Amino acid sequence: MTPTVTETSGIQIRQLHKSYGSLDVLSGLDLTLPAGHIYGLVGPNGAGKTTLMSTICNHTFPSGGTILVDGENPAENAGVLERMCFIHEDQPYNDVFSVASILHVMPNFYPDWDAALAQRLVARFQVPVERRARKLSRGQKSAFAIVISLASRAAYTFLDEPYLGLDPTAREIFYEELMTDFGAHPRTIIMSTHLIDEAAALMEEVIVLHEGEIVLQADVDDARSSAYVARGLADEVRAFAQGRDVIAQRTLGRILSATIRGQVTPGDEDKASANRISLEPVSLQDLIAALGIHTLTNALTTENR
Amino acid sequence: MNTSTRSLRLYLSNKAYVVGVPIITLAAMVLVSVLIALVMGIVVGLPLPHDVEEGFRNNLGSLTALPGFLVSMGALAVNRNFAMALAFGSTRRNFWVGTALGFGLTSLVTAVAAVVLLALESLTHGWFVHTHAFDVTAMGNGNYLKAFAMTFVLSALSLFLGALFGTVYRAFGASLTTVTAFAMGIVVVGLIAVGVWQRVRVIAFLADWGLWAVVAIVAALVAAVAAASYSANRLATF
Amino acid sequence: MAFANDRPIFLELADTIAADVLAGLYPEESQVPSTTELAAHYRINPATAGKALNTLVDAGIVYKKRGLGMFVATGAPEALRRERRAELHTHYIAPLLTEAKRLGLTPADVVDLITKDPS
Repeated sequence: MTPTVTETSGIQIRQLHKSYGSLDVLSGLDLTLPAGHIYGLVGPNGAGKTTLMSTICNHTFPSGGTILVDGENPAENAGVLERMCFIHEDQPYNDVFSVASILHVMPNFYPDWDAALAQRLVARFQVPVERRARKLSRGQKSAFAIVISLASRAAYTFLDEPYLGLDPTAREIFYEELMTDFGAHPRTIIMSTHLIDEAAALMEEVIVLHEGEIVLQADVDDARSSAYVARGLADEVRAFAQGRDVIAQRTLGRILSATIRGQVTPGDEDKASANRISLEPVSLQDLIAALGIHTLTNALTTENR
Repeated sequence: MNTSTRSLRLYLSNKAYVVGVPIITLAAMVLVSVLIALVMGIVVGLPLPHDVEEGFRNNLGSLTALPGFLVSMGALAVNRNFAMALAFGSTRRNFWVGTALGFGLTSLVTAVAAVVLLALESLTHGWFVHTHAFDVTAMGNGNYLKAFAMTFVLSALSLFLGALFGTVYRAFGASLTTVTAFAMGIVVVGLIAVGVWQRVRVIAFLADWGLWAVVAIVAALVAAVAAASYSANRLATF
Repeated sequence: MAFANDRPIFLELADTIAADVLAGLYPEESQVPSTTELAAHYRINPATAGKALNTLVDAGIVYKKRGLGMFVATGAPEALRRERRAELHTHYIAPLLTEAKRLGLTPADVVDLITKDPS
């Protein structure tokens, strides 16, 4: 299925601004997300991931710019909003509602609600159905949010750090169920995550947010092959890195590892082996972490000028 | 399905709250009235003599007990249900309409319960101790229609007031909510002060128009508070 | 599953499936898992799984039976064997000789090691 960006499908954001008082969280963001894919939203805390998702779903109001979902402004738009599901990481629940009573109400909100799937997932994640939603543990709350998000079959499903409190086994269950359901019932999923390497294979496209701006938006495989690490004796690596886009460096004694943006050419390979430099791939997590530090350092450097 | 009924169903799935709380509140009122009578009875004997019983007609318990619970219920209904409604793709307007309908139902249930308890009160001659919880001046002295109407508008006002505080909190934050509550408190005190100052006129007015005037005033307040909570809801964020 | 960092995941997966075909785990004309099954099992997105299968289709290892799924093509194991024999030098022998040279061993030394290998 090839991605389609038509005027009537997907999410289109132009010059999105969002400020809380004097704090600019999102500053002129442009983003186009064709429908039917899984997007990973990554970035440091405070970069604006939750704010971005909240604005798209009309949970909060943009300070400027336009948002179009399936060609329409989602603000107070029942037809568009009812195709969205965004359970916040700190979602408050009414004191009295039990898990079971909330699940019972869900078909009213989502016409495609899959009750059987919800039942199966609730059992698999061991969420206590009779307990009040407010009284669930951190992990159980995450599991509950996952259950609702998946069973809703919402055309646009947003997951905000859905793995919080889940042990590795539960996370594996989540990833497996997510892929199974997405495969059988394609929809648009936008997931914010800090566990980049764990989620790298799940995502089709990764969007890196840093201080309210998009620093990188790319196919995961393209992103992973967009940089490499040159490792060797400090002087030799520095010489090799001359004129290249170095985004991070780490030293271990006499050994310097430089993360360099770009593609490795055969000429590079020859030059490296001649200077006892090894060229290694960089994991998506390391790349994104390096980008974060790089952007921050750049900002600091420009300030000091 | 009309999307506002989603929020109504969300509100109603809280069965214990919607039906239980009002009825328990009313039952508590009865209990309090009976206990006070029992205590008084130690001195004046039980069942209470006629002149003491008449004093109970000024019992404002029914008027003050309900708002206490229902204001907080209204606030909670809005506060947390709103967050859920937003998460599950509801518009703010539909959420408000659904919740308002829910408030109407709760008020209806409460009013019916008040009438039933009023009937029981008559049947048991004041709960066997000649006390008055519902057969009071504030509720029309035994007139079922007046009791129903008064309970209905009072419940609705309490719920919408709670909702107003809840939505103002969601729209403007904690400090403004406190300011709003404070301002309202001042307005209420001011009105009472005016009422006391002009009490002769107030009593004459009530004697002419009776409880229905009060009901009408409260109903108007309900409309005003409801409109305010709707506007605040439009501005509320997650 | 931890896929290596240097190659796209879909290529790694295609290789894994091809290796399974070569080892006889998927006999000729047997069905290979669907994109959804692969996605769920390896915790990768279905598009990547689809790309892996398409790569195998392009290489003639599997083919699509409309409405039924993907099946191992007749002659696929043999084709894979031929292909890998041709690549044996690039993937194994050349690196072996480079490493040997790095360690100061001559090709004759390497041959000696091979002939003396007990397995």
